[in-house]
Amino acid sequence: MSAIEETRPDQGAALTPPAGSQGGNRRLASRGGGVVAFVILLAAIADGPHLLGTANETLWTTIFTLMALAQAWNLLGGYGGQFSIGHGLFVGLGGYTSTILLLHTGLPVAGAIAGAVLVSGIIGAVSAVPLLRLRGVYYSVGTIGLLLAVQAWFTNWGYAGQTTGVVMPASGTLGFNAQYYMAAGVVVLTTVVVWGLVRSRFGRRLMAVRDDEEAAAELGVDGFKVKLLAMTISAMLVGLAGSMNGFQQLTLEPYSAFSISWAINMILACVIGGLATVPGPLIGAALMFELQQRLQGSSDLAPLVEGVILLIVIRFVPGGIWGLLCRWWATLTELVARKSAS
Amino acid sequence: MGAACTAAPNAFTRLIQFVSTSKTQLTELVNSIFYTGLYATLALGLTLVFGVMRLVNLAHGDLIIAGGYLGVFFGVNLGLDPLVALLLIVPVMMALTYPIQRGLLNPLLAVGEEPPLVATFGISLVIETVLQIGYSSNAQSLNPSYGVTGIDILGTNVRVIFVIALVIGVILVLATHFALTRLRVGKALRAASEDAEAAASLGINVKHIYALTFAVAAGLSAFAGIELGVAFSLTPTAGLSWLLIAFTVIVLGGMGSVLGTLVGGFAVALAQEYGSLAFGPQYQDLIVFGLLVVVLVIRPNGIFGRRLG
Amino acid sequence: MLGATIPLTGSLAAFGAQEKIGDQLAVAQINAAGGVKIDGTKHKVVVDYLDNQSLPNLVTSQAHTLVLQDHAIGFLGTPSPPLIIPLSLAADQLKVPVVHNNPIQAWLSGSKSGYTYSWDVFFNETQQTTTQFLASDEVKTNKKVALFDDTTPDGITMGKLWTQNAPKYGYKVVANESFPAGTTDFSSYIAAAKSAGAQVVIAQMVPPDAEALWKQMKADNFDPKTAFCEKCSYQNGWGSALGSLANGTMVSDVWSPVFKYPDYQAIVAASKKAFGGKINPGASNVAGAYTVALVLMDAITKANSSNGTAINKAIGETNGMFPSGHVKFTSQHYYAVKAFQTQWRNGNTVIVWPKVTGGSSVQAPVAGLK
Repeated sequence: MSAIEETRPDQGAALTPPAGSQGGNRRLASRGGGVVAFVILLAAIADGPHLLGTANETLWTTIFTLMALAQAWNLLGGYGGQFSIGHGLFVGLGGYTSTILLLHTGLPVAGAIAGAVLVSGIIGAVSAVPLLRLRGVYYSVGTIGLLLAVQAWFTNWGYAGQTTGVVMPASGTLGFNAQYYMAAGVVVLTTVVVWGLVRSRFGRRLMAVRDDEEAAAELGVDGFKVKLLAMTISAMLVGLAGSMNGFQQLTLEPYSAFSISWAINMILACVIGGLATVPGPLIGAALMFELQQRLQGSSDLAPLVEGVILLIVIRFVPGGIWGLLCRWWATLTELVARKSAS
Repeated sequence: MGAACTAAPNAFTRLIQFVSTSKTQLTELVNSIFYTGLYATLALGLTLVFGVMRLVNLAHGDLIIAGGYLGVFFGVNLGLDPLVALLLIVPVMMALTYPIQRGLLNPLLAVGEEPPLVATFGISLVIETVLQIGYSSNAQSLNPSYGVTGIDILGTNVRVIFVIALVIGVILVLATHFALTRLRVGKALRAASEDAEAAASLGINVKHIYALTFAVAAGLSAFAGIELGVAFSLTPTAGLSWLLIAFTVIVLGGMGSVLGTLVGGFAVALAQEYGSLAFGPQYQDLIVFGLLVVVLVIRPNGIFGRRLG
Repeated sequence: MLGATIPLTGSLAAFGAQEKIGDQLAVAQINAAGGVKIDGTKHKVVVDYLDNQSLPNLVTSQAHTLVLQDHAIGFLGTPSPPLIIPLSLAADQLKVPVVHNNPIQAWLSGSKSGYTYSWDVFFNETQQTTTQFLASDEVKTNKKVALFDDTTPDGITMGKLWTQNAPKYGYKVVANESFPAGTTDFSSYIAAAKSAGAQVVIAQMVPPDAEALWKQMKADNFDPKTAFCEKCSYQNGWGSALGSLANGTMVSDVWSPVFKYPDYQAIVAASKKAFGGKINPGASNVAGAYTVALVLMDAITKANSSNGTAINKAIGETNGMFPSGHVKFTSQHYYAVKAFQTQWRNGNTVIVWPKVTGGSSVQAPVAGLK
């Protein structure tokens, strides 16, 4: 298991190291173990196409994209305390931007992706100015309003194909292997970025603002600036994953590209997996994807099961699945320690 | 991208047309007045729950729709007229929602601001899927005669259902206001909304009060659901758009203000009617959202501020 | 093994359900004769259905699952451009053919260079958008037309064509209302149509929106002489949801039992069973799906292979009688069925234009809205 996570006190127990040198050694061991595990994981991902075969490869491309989306949302939602229900905005912007750039300019794929990230970041920053003045549920509803406004704009915009949307040209039609590696790269990048930010001074400030903005202000933290940065970075990462989605779908139209369900899935993944944790969104996204695959025959049931799981988690297991696993691990190591001491 | 920004020029020409005609725009005014009843009823439950518990119920739109679907159920199985069916629907909705507040939301309210919000989100998903499983996604509608007949008011044809909705809306708003200000249970509600701990120490069963509020809100929403089913149609996922309208109504009229729902409802209807006239009807939703975002940013507590009653 | 990603839930659920009935009829027919022939041996056909919930987002991934995981060698169609365009693109990417029923121009608009593995059997909007005027010519009207089109690809395609075609037949479009799918309040549009004095109403919308529009037209005492509801009334639900309000609505159709095309009795029987004893566009949807499934399975046997490219080539060589008529594809991969006009009467539809034996004549004004 990887290193110690910081979570909100009421969101589930954090892994606390026992005091003393024994604890210090154990921490070192668990940190080292975490790095080794990470490297093994990377190697497994890199060998993916060989291990998985084409069918599973496309599934994993989707899973990686969903994980990246959830992870990016979590930066703003779990760690920043701003629940954006309109985050699908950046999925659509990312996808449309990269597709349109490939359609109308001579940019290579990398350039189109960079454009998607840039546009998402700009819109994220600009929209943050009015929206971040809203707290709690007002912010959430404001993001829905913005999403639907942009959706309505795209359905009327001739340049973006109005309701027919845009179709990926040949220059953007990538092989399954390429898509797999891109998606894998995106989820690794997103996770590393979020992990790094959370550990940094910026991360601590963000969480301080989330927990009590007034108190943080008294300590000299500009809540608005911190949240603005979080929102911009989150938007850029979502835009990046959104452009991956564009490469997979090959065609985009406004109602599905700018759908509320993107954010709904991000929120479900994060809450079920563990809000304000790094592994949480990954676990949650994978779990939900698995659920949707299993229930594909009776697709009515999938949202129902997800909704019920969400209610159970929020009521009884607020730390999410990761929080639960951490607690079990802590209990287990306690028992082992006691056994070896006696 | 000077290419085809076809959207903007259309809107602009209509705006110019709107400003330059001197035609009396009585139709829009009449329509706005008669939409007020529906919109106030849509928002009443939401404002009540917010006023008492400081909770924005994200499942509010779905509760409204669920009430409408119960109307379809009783219409098909018992042959009841939608408005008559309300006699059954309201108690059923109240019975279903009381335990949700008591068992799920009450404990979460004590934890913080986000958990109850996320929970109402989950409830919304569950309601939508249950409706989908029961009725598929095909639109359902209630078809009594008052949904398809209109009467002439000041030169505008108004559907009878909207006249009924206005009457119902005004009655419900006034009744709720009366209950909150004159009846004992209303005073208990207001005490709990101001300071839950103090109310508890005065012997008020706050848990029960909260659950009762939630249930009453669902019952009131059933009226709106029936009206929507008669005037328009019902689909399992329609809840979100109605939630947004209800939210705009209470933001404009005052979060927690019952009388404010009439004011907010009228304001939203006006914005829609004149906005469509000015910019074209396909921008109707955009105008309402724009209004919502603007008001949220400028005056988050609404025009009339937040106080229960 | 054939794959199908169809809307079994969502705003297009009515069409998905009807397609499934048609597919199953075709599969039963082929399996009764032993199945399709691949590499010399006969194999029974099985169709793997996935519900795309009317959501374009799910189509591509479901197409991948069907081919890569479940080894489907062909796709059966899915209704409406937002769904068939991604499916056609996925078919080209996976090199597995898809045969479907969708308005031709709207489908073609999804790819500037055309499709390689996608084949369409349906009407061509350029012909279909003339039938409304020709049918209205059968009765006396003031030739003033109100258009109600949503902004979906079908709505945009047909709306443009109606505006172009109207003057060619002596009609004038006096109200051209366009709105997004999902609109619920049509009072301002109806007011515009009324004040312009329109007596011909032509609508292209999804079923839920059209039901609201019709109810509002009735309440508003808007009483046109002829009314057409394209796509919206092209399914069984129009009659069953609206009851008598649906009477008199006209809709373009591509199949009718009076033509006595192959297998029409089986289609009539299955439709009556599924749609409460009525014969209406529900049956036409069934017939269309029956046809494309047969085309696909016949091509597999002709190619004698499970290879997508070989099957695709065989589809291109199709030339024979099917439930939808004599199917032969153009170089652009479609077979344009001639559209005609039918009118709703108490849950059934009858051909009213052109005049054929077994059909009827246009009744005006629109009975349900009177």
